[in-house]
Amino acid sequence: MENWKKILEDKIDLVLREQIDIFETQIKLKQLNKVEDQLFAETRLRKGVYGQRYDNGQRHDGNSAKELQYPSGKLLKGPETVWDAPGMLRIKIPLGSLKPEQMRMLADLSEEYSDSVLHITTRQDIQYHFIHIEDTPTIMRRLGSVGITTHEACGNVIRNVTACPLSGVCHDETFDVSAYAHAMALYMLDHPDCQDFGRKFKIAFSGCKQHACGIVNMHDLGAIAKEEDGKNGFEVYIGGGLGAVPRQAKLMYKFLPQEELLPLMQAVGRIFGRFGEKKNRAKARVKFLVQKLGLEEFINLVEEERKILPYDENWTSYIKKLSEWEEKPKKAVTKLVSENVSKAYEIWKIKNIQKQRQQGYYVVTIMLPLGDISSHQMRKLALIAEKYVGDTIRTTVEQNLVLRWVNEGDLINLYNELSKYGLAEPGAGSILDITTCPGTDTCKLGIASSRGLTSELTSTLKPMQIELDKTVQELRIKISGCFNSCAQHHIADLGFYGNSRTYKGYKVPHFQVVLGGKWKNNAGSFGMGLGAVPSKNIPNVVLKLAEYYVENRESTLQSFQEFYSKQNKGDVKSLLSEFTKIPEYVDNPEFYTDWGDARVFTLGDMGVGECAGEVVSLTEVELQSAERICFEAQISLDEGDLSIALDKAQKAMIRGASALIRKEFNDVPSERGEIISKFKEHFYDTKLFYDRFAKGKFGKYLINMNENIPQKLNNDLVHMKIEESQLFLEAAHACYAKLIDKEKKQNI
Amino acid sequence: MLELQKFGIKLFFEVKKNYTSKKFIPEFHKWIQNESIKDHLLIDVADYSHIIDGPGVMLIAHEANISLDQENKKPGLLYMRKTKVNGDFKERFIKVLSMTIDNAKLLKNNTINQKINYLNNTLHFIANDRLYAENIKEKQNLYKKEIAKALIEQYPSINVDFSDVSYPRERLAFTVKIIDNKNILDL
Repeated sequence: MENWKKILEDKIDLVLREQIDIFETQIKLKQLNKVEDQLFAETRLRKGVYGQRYDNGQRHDGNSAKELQYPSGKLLKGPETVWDAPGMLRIKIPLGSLKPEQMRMLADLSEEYSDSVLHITTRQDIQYHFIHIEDTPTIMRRLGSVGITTHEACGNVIRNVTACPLSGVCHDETFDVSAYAHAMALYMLDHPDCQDFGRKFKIAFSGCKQHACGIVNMHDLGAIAKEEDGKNGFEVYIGGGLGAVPRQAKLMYKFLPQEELLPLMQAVGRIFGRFGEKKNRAKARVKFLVQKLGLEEFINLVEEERKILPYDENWTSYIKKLSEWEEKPKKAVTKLVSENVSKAYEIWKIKNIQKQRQQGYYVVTIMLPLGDISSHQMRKLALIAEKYVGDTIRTTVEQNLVLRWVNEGDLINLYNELSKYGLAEPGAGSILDITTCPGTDTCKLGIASSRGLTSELTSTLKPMQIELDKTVQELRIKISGCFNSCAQHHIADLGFYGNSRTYKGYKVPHFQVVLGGKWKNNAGSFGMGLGAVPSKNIPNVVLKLAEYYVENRESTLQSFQEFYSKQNKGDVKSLLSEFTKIPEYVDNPEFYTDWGDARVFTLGDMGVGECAGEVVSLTEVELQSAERICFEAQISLDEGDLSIALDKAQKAMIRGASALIRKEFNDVPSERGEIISKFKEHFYDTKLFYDRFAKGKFGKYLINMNENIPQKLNNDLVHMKIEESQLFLEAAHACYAKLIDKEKKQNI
Repeated sequence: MLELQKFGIKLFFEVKKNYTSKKFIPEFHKWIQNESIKDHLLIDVADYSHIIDGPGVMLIAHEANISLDQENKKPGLLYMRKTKVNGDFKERFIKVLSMTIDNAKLLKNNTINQKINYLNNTLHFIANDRLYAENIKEKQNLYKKEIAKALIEQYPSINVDFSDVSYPRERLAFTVKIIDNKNILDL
């Protein structure tokens, strides 16, 4: 009987072929229960094979939590991860670069093994959802036959290497970083010095300092193209990252010669592997190691390691071939004849095309709603790419696709063809081009529906896109389903992340509003939470903030980020207060559901219409007051009162802990130390405060709140402490919801 | 021998002006709550209605994906089988057709007051496995022949015709038209 393994034998790189064969054997061994769950989970993650929502075999269908009885029974593919449950496959696309034959293969596989949809991620990868683990070796072989790998797409390894999608065609770049990013991806793939990390490691490249496309500052290692004395090199940054507690990367080298780029990463890999945290996941990213050692000591260690690295010709061999990366246009330049063009084309071209550095050529952006493209569209796009631009297509961190080297004379025809397949949505890079993570649709960590909210916001904003103020049109919105920032909400003008609040016994989907992030300058600064608003009110919040900005800015040249930095945060918060109100359940039950989901939001086992307490509990009041204190901490930080800000951030956590203690006990201690110790004994040690995935991380923010506080406070540290305080309060809300659910179960 | 297991059947809707698959999200959730599809483990609802030329709203089951497909901007109900069905290809085809029709009826009798009409005499066959059903002339003819045989054996009173064969590089697919204008839901 024919099979893909046999058919593709000679078409897959030997190393990759062996890796896939080994993985297939591991799958078989796991089916025989000969591999431990945790070990198999890490093995499959390194192959890009992720879990997905409901893969613990449980799902709440809106009436009750039900067990999903898969045919595989109790067989697991990781801790609490049922074998037959659908999962996600992440596919690495280094620097987002795709060729038509790869696009076709990606389309084919999404049909045969997934749901006919390809999802572009915020790190230029492609994801399939609802795949079955037993199909993954075949998918990998077929991808391998067109030069694509999923190896090290997940797990504690070096992830996809990203780069500005305009590399090589941008007006403002110092030089084209494509070849360097590609060399980095190739050299670090499966590198022996990078196999023993405590956490993942992300690398990004940018051709310039000022734009956003590379978002270098939020990466573990970032490289910005720089020239010195006519020689290529890089400005190198280390230790950035978003996640729950974001960090700006620190400047490591003002100029690193190109020859030193790969050995530097190898040395960093060794140091991170040797000294990085391994036990506590929450502190294991390189940003924590840099913080712990101090930047200077970290650099010293890396440089000492660099000296003893055995020479490797691959460090520089690619430099001789840089010219091979020079792209050639498919078509010669012709002038655009623009008679009788449609209004739709006129609107599309405002945002979706930009001139290349090369005269007469354009970059065309295909804006993908929610980062999704169907298999049918992808296959048609491969044809279009072949016809107009050859193989110069790239994915972007804004979850779009770009066609490069489009001849000016072809723009209208190209638009018409894209339009035929629903690929000519206008508004790329505008307020309509919302970045979003999978959220509750498929992610195990999602709290609220980021995709649902994005769809709703798009519907709200689309009809008014032309009438909106020009600077409002330029705003970037990014929405994550939880605090982990996969949609990069910290660097948006208007960022949102999902959370939940309990109101009179019911859970209500909310989003934390994060303002003040800076997308430009390679993710120049990170925003901060202003307060949680019910999900159903977020579209109105966006309109209100836009209106407030237009009415109060100093000039049309003042960016939203600049404007917000000068605002009194209390004023902005009070602007949103009208949107924080929650109607009674009986008056508006739909308010208690999430966008695009008919089920009542995480109601647990509580039946619709049942309600334990009609009165707002003291705990809810106290948690709200804790949030207020935390917000005041932000104001103090803005005003430069670092010690007051730190004190308030800590007070907020103490108040949150008191609220929980009051829920369970009559007496609440008054001393800080006693509160912390009671919280530790009854909530932390009992794991009541544990998050299913973050475990005890948020509780530790309170318990260890006085650790490592230097005499001389700095802005970064206090910023981080306020973020921690916010996360502690989110966890306190979640813990309170858990206690309520428990109480209800007991009362049934 | 026709080993194809993964294939689907789509029944087209009569195109209505205000149709959007998004409206059916609550209906699919109800199907999950009520375990409405026999012998299927219903898992979740995926909303892809924002992709103009895509799979629309999809009910994910372990055994099949059931979607309000809008590929080529032709809306319809697509039942795409994922797991094994017993029997030879003819038997498998008839079983999958029967499951598709059951789902189509369920959708037509929806509880959310959405009117759905099907194109009575048309179904679209999609082979979803390029290993067993490469989209080449020879295989297209083979599957046409087998499907015609299966339909005529099962429903002796009908005649069928084929059209809309898929383009090369797409999955092997074609439309089957029942010439006598029979209502497909009554088969």
